[in-house]
Amino acid sequence: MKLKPSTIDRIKKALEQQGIRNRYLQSEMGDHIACDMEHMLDQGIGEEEAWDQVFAKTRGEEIKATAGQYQGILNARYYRIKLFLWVTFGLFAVSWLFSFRTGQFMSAVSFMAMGTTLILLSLDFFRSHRHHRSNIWLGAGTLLSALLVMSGFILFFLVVNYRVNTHGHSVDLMIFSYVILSLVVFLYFIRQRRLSQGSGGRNRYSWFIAFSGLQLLLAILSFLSLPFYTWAVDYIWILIWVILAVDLISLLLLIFKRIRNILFFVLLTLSFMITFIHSPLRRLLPAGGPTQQTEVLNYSSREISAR
Amino acid sequence: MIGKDLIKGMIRPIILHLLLQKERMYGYEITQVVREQTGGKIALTLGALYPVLHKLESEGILETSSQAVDNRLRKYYTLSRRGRKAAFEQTVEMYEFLDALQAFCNPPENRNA
Repeated sequence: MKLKPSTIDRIKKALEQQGIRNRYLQSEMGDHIACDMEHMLDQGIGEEEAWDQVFAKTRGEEIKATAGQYQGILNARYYRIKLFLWVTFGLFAVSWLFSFRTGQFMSAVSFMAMGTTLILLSLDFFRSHRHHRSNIWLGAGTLLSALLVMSGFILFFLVVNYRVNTHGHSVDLMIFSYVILSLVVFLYFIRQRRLSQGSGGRNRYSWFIAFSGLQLLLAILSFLSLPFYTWAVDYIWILIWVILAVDLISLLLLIFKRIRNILFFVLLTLSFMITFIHSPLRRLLPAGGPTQQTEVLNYSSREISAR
Repeated sequence: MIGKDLIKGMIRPIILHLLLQKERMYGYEITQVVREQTGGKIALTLGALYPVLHKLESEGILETSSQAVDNRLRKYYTLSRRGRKAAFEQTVEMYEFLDALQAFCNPPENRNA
């Protein structure tokens, strides 16, 4: 005998109350418990009695231990991505906070580390394509974002250090990378919310949808500012400050609300890095004074007058 | 019914052995097949089965796929290519272990007597 949808919802809620918040683990354990109950119903046991028997058999500590072990596996799975993200942020921060001779190279390495983080994320999407077909598209988007940010920074590096004329394409590529990654993250959270079970999971994903939606909007505005640069030039600083403020507020809110997601943290870091290197804020830092950005702006203004 | 401590180390080879016989299985199905084939002597609990399944998945020995069944998602486990090799090895090891255990419980002097 099959269980009613209301009973399945009741199982999900009971699991959520026992601390099972991971959607995949929740659905797997929910299915196990539902199968067990259906088996009892087939034997002529009433639904309430079956419920009591199943939950008496499946003790709370057992469920919590399984959840803890599963979380440990997930942490190990994302360990390399987290490590690369920390390395990225560390190198980026140090390259601007301390005026080393190698500062610009460290900054370049930090962008390469960011690209590698994105490649690892895309591989994780590709590997889990069996769960959701859409993971192939999300993986492809993340990979594209990685290639764009890496090539964008290589051009930026050539402009700054070797005065190669890249026609401002370094900024274009990096902002395009930001747009693609915001879109990937936004679509990912929409899918996760649609699939999530229980109000706790849905609320959590609603937060992520709101934050990643805002990031996507800002990324699109940044991208649109490129073809309309001559009109937008006087207002771009507003956009830069808004993006930096949104990054900071999102980070603080997520920490305060204890909501964590590696994909979202990667988006925040990428958004911050790309925006920061084009912001006046970096000039306040010890390694931000040299001619780096001035050079880039000179090229841009030359291009504008040529047009 | 056999105690948890004795079963603990055997869960991994049991799962791999079952998946060698059957192309894909889900968690509850594994517990039921084990219960039936052992006449109810081995009962895998939720807390004993899933940590092993997840570990095998993280090691790349098992691959998973999800399917919607009766208003819920069901996760199926299959052996990966690498997992098939590991399953053969573990099954052979399990048989060797059982033979060794049988030899230990029934030494030659007892057999002669």
